[in-house]
Amino acid sequence: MRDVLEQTDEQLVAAARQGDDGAFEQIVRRYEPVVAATVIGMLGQCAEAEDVGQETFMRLHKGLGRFRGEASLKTYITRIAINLSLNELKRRKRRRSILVRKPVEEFHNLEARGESAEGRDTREMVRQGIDQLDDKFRPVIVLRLIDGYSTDETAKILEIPVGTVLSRLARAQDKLKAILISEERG
Amino acid sequence: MREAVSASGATGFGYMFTERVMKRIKAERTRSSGAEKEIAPTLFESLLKAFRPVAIAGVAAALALMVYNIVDSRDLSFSAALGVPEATLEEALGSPLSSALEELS
Repeated sequence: MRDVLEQTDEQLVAAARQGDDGAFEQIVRRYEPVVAATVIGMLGQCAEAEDVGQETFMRLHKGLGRFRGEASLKTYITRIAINLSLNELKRRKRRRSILVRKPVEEFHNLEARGESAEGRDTREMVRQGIDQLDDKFRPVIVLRLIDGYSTDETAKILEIPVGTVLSRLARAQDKLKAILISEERG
Repeated sequence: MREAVSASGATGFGYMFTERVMKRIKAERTRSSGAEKEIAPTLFESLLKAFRPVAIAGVAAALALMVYNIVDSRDLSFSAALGVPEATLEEALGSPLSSALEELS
């Protein structure tokens, strides 16, 4: 078990390709936080978020043979997560249904984080603000500010020019600021 | 605001997420191996389906030819239907034998 924990991404991918379930399980454990931050950042704390998270790893498992290692495994997984989240947002728009949202605690282990009630409120407010952003701006905010990717990495994941990332980030921040101010006043 | 946004990120999907993913992968694998086992009967069934219209058309054509033969020969016998001429062995072998016998006698 310890061996698996110490293996690099490349070693784990190679082992998983050979059918080693333990290696793939380790990949899932290693990248669950990354996928969760991306998917929940994109979709919000809803029932579909975990489905998209699971589907991200299912796609990764099926596509391991296609992974050439040109990008890092983290970037590759995030790209899958972003694409699936965008698909889900499109589906959501089509359905125009009211989503049944799960309680926040189900997705975030808040007690473990030792967060104060005020911190929780701020986080929830920001989360709701991000939910209100357009599909065009949301991935940039999620990747740059939540996942912590660089502008270059964000551009590669979203397959858009660096300049577009920068302009969308600036506009997204302005919009988010406006949303948060209006929520605070209201 | 950047700090607040970055702090708003989720850290996981919840308890036993990895186990749920692995369970799905194993279930998918079982399903696909089951599908492979079903390939043989599926192939046979599809061949049967493809052959059926050809067989029906063939039988229809044979029946049509038999009817034509019966009408043409004005004979209701089975050999007429098949278009087989009624001939003795001698006739079948041809006249050279009979002519040779005649010559000998």
